[in-house]
Amino acid sequence: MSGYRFDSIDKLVNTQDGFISRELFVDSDIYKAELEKIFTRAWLMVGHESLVPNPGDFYTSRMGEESVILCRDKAGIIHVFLNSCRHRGMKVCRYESGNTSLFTCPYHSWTYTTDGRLQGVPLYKSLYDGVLDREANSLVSVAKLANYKGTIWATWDPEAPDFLTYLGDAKIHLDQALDCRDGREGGSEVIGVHKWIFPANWKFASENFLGDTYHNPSHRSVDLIGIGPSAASGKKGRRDDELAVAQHVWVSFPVGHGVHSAIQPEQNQYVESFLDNPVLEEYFRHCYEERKRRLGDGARLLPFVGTIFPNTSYHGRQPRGLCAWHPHSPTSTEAWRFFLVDKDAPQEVKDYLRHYYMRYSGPAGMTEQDDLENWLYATSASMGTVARRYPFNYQQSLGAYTSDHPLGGDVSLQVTEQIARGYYNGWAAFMRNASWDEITGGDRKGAARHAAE
Amino acid sequence: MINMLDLKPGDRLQLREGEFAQVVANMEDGMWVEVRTLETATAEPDPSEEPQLCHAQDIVRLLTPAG
Repeated sequence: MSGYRFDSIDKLVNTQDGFISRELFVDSDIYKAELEKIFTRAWLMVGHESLVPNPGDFYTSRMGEESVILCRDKAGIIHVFLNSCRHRGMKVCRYESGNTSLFTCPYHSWTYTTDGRLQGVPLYKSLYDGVLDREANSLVSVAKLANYKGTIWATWDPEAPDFLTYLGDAKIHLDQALDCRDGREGGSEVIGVHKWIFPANWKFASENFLGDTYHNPSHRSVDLIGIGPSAASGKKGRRDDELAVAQHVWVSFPVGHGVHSAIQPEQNQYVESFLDNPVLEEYFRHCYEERKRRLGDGARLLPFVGTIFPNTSYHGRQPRGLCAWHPHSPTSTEAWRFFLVDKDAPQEVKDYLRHYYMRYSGPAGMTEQDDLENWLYATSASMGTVARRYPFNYQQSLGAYTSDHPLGGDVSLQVTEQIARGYYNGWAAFMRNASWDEITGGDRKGAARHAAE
Repeated sequence: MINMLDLKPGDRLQLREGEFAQVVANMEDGMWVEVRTLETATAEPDPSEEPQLCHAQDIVRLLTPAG
């Protein structure tokens, strides 16, 4: 059965006509293949350097289903290791985070230093004649690791392109989520991570954050209540209306990345965004003017949301943060929300934003609950034999995009599912074991050939 | 059986395979201590030697508690 399905990936993903099979969201064979073909090749976000600020700090994370350790060694170098002893596979670290000089396997006590080296083997001379190859039995390290503006990304594939090549033109959109609010590069800090498990396929979340603006009505009750930082002052909604006068763009990039950003008018002015707190209002007004001064015309581009293929998403402005959608099974996902602030922001700003983020996102966040309800019922309603016969419809704004735009990629100026179609084209390329050249858009002929087939 | 948490820097240990060592540091994980090897039970350690890990199972007995 699995052979049949894998030979038919392009039939499951028909982006020409705008249909995606429900099997992608419920089938266990496809799910297993995703773990092998996507999660062992793609660049995955593992965490943030601010989670491991000191030598010996560690933070356990995930790559696909597998537990990994994000660790800063004694010399201050950041590593990512498979969290599994080389002897019998036991987790060498069972804590979420902490500081250590060694990782000791609880099973037989093989012990590793923070740079992954096998340091301690009980009865080394008595039972191994003092000649066990420690180097060959070090913790399994990722093939490549990148620290991009504080975010830590890794891939198991030694043939993978460098991270910036992988990111391509999606870079400037992700940048806006990671850069300081006043336009300085980088400088973000994680002020908390929410983790929870929900019964839906991981791609529902990834796809949603590409820029599924069409689902906005599902948040209407939240908008009516008003949970934004100016709600008490009369501006209802989830956020401010900073992007209300901007030209919104939905961009699909090679690999499968997709973003929803906005370009402000030439005479862009600060829009009051934190009316409920004068300290924040003043802070963000200052940041806005500074950013405009630093970036000039580039400051007109503001991020909204986006997904870096396969499972990392971001909210660029309000509420600013990163999401990792970790697969647990075809119908179960572990969500991680990393809440971001500028590291040097005033404490009052950080505290206010933390509360706002929790009001909006995470398992108790009002907006997040709307999304979760949709994702989990869409999953459960797609598991039946009859339901599986009917693919999802992705025909919205078919063909309504341009590939000749300064932003690169396929740019739409109207609400579109082109970003989702691009995402699943990327998905299909990984599932076909396509070359990196094709995946990253270097081999457009190969990609076009598959699309035509 | 030695309670590893009781070991202190300076303690001298008899190890398996007829070896001796002196405790340099105890991370207090209950499994390992850092030691330097000794030529004999009463010899002084070579301070230039890099400390190595010594596991509870490798320790035969505590020879001399640190003063």
